[in-house]
Amino acid sequence: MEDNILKVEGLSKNYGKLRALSGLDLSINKGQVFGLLGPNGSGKTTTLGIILGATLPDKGSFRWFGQPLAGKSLKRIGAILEHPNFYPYLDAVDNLRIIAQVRCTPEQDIERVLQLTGLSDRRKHRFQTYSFGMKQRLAIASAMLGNPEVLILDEPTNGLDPGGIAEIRELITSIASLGTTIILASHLLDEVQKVCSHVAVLQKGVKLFSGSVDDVLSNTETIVIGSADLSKLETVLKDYPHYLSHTIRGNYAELKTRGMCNPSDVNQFLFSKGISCSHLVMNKKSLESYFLEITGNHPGSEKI
Amino acid sequence: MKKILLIFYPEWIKIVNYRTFWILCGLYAATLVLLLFSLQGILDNITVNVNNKSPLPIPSFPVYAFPGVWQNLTYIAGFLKMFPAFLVIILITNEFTFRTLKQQVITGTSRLEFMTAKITLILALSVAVAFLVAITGLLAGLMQNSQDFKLILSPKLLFIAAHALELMTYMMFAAFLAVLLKRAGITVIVFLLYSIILERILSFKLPDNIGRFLPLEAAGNLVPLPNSSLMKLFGVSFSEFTSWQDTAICFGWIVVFILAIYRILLKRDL
Repeated sequence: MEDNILKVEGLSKNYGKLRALSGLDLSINKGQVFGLLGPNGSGKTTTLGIILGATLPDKGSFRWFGQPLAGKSLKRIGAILEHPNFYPYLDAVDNLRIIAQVRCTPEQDIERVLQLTGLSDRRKHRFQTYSFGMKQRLAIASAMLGNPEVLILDEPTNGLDPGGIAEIRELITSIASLGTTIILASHLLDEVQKVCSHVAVLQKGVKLFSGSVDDVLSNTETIVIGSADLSKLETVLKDYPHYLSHTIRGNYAELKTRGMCNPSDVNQFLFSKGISCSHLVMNKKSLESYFLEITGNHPGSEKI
Repeated sequence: MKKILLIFYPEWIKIVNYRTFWILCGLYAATLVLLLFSLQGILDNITVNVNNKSPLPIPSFPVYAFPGVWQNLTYIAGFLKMFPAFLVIILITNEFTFRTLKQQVITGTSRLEFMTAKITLILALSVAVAFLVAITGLLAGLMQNSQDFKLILSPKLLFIAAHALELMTYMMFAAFLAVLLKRAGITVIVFLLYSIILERILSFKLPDNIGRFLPLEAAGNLVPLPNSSLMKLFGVSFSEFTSWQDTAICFGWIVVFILAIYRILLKRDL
């Protein structure tokens, strides 16, 4: 267990009558890029606020590096939480000097993180003159100050333009490749899918799922089949040896199989039963549709 | 000591480039020095006017004469003590409105370190203002002729320290309200309502021996009204020194405010 970075047990938090988090368990190991996925208001920021010591939990406990939270462990963690929070009247360098001082990081590191986040040109401009995207970059820069062992990023690509989003994702991936553990909260599934190795899905403060991203994706392959006689196709499909389930979407049948999908095998089977396919596509489902499935917002559910 | 300096260093970065802070400081210092330097002129003017109608001649009152100058000036400087309290309110509520307190906590600053930094700031401000009053008193005294300069160093110099304590009590009260209420506007309004109206009503309603325990009342009592020549004429005499009871009450309140601030910070989501 020496590789365990963060262990969260039974974390609960209410805001008045609103239940923000109930009984959350998490375990994050060294080197993971851990995605915390959920729609707005699902408890992602509350979770991060608690493990960073800014929000007080009603119940439950958590341990960083096997120890209760203290300033010492926080100094090994770089974090952005919700909005970028800086002194509007100070420039980027002065704002980072304050953070560097708290983290006991030499001030020379400021230039490096400003360069990494593309803010070097504006380093002497006051924070209040920044666009939202630049503010977000400064927040990411402050989190990376002093090369922390753990990086916590709450919606890091919020407010960035497409170029900026790609840059920041590349940056996250390159930091992760150096062995830094990353916890990334996002409502963008695509982002989690592209960047993360592990994921926990939250909804209304409850954890619905957690595991590796590959595990989630392995069970999400389907084969979309089109044929002239859809009703005949349906009856025949049920006899397919590896048949698991199917759904009808418009003029196509979407087949789920036991084990790995094998389109040519399916094609051969259908042909032997006298059905010729007009359309046969293997569909690797995105995490997004899986996510919508487990959160109960199936996009095709009304069509079934 | 080194630890305190390290904790204070971020506070220094926060204020050194904060234009609003320095403009307000400059205005306050200018008003204070101007008021103290023009005191003699104002009093002379009043004496002349009153003498026109008075059957008895009222002797003029040498405000800057050593060692009385220390009490006279710190008493008058007390009228402006709200000003540094406002500075403290701005500097503390900023941390809530900019959410920078939250940022510093997740970066690794403990709530205790944050509070220590703000207390250090209050301490530095009160010492700086008291020092300014002392310098002004010294210069004004030296400029007034025919003085006995041996009287500069007198036990009355303690009024400078008393003024620093008076400012500290005010600023700690302001800091407590700022942490409690988090927003600059509402903090300033509550601070004014309490200090100008509420506490005066309370101290008026309460018997003197209880009313003196109110925090701002006790702070105000640290430097008593100086005995002017007019009062001597009427045989009224006020205390010439800061009472140890008032000093103890002020220190007591400072401890209470610090404990209250720490408790609020510990028990609240940031």
